[in-house]
Amino acid sequence: MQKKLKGDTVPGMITILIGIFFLVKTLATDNLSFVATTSDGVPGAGFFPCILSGALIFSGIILMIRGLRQNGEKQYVALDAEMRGNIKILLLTVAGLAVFLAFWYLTDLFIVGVLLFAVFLNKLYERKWKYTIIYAVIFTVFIYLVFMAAFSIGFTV
Amino acid sequence: MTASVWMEGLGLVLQPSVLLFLCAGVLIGTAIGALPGLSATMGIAIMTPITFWFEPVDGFAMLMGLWNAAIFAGGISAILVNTPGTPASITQSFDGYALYRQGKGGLALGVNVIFSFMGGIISTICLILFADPIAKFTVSFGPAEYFMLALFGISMMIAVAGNDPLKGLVLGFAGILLSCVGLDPILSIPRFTFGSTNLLKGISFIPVMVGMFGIGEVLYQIFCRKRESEKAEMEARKVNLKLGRILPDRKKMLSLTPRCIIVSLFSTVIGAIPAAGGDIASIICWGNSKKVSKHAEEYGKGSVEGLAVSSSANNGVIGGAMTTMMTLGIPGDAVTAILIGSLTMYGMQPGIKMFTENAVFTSQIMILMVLANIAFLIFGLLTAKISAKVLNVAQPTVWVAVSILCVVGSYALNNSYYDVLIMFVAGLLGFLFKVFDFPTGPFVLGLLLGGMLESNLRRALVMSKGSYDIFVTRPVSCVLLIVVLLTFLVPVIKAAMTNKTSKKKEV
Repeated sequence: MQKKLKGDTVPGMITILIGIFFLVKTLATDNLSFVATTSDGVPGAGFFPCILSGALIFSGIILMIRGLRQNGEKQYVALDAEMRGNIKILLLTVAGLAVFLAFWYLTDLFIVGVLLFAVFLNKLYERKWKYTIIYAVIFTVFIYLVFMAAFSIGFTV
Repeated sequence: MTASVWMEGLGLVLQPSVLLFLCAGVLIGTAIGALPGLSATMGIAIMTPITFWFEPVDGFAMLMGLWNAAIFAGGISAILVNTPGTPASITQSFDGYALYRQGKGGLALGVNVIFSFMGGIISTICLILFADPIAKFTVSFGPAEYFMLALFGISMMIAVAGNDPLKGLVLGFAGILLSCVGLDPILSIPRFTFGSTNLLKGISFIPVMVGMFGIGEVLYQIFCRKRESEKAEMEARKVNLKLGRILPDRKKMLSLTPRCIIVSLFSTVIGAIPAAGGDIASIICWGNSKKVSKHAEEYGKGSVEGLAVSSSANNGVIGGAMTTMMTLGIPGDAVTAILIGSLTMYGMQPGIKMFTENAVFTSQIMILMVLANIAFLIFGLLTAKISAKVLNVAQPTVWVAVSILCVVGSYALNNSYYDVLIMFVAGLLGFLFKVFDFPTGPFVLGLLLGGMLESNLRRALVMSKGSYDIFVTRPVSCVLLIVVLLTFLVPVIKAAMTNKTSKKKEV
């Protein structure tokens, strides 16, 4: 069974919301005036964001209307059973990356994080343990030697 | 640029370290280009932050080597497994794979190397010959012209990228709007920073590129993974058919050369048009060459001529794209967009200043382009028969490496965790854009050119005391404005006419 998405309705709505957010933020900020206070007719700091937010809202509305008119005819991706299974791996990859970044931020242990992340991803992608360990160790050593030892980039072990 | 500038540039380029970085770039580029799923853009995006730790000439040597080699190497997988390594290699699979199936894989690989070299070298010669005069022409450009140029670049990207100009338009606006984050370019007023000091300098362009073309691509490949076809492909890769001789004979070479010179020149012009990359050039050149060929019936069934034309076309765009980038500051494609970011990081601004204040460095870039072509010619011919081994690398192996290198690269840029977060968010966005069929080109170009667009618009209006006449009274600006309008109007008129014709037919 293939799942159909309702055209560009949702992307159109998101576009409108982003446009409204930037427009409101611009209009609500005192410094971001449409016309500069220094000389007549010359645009101020809010000129460009206002124009672009307006353009974004306008194009978002067209996108949304088009999406509503398509009403399910537009199909982005033919989601089969295998691809639905891939979503789990995809989400775990994103989660793994987020956890790796959080681990690095909280502990400052970058190289350890790389090693663990490489092991996690390899296992997630169904590689054998032997391959996973060898790959993770070699790649981590490579990162350490090239980026920390050779380029002196400010990573910590 | 004077002869002394060229001699100085040559002297600095012929240093062992520079040549070493160039060869390393060619090696990495060949691997990246040959592997389906890894594009030249992804390679350049990942490697660029790392090159900031080298001397500028070393860094650019690596990038030039990587770029030129990756485009040529895209043909290797097109020939051996019928899967283009890069989008620019799409037409190489039409004839290259057929030749491989006929037991002429070696010849196909040889033709790919030789004629990619020809395309690359001719377009680089064009770059050397025409960049300086074009740059001199831009001396008279003021804010109005630069505003129109930036607008032209973005409008071309919107018109050309993807099948849906409306989505391109949305992302173009979003990219420009995002470029407003940070300090206002004229009055230095903070905008949309939400009290963050990191956001004062704006959204860093290179981490966005690394995320979109690195993490975004990996996530998309995971999402679309088909284990059965992947398994079948891996099995096909293991079956090494006989490759045969590599070099074409002298008669064949001579018969192909004139056509490929014309194709190289033509694709240089295509490359110079913003947003028209190697894929467009190779499709146009292959199609037109077929039309005028004496052996049109062989095209798509193993024509050496067709393969040579495709090979010349995809490397031929590089010189054209570099010309637009270096002289006008408008990227011809995603790779040159990253290179602009790279030059900016080195404190250089593409445009006339590249040919005055940084003339030696500019000459070095051009010399490096020539050397990169020579390097991949030698390397490609020597390793043609073993290059197939690169294709045995499994996709998950690449995904793990790319994911980690994206993190390392985005951090290495400024030793900033904030850049890593930008890269992560851009990766997620890049994935969503791909799934929902939004072209990423207008977004990245909007982000890159947004600052140029805004600052020049406002400077022009300051000069004209708020009058918009300045954009139509200056000849170059007026011509560019007409071109921009045509870029948007022609597809609309075409669509309206098509609708009218189809309605008439229905009646």
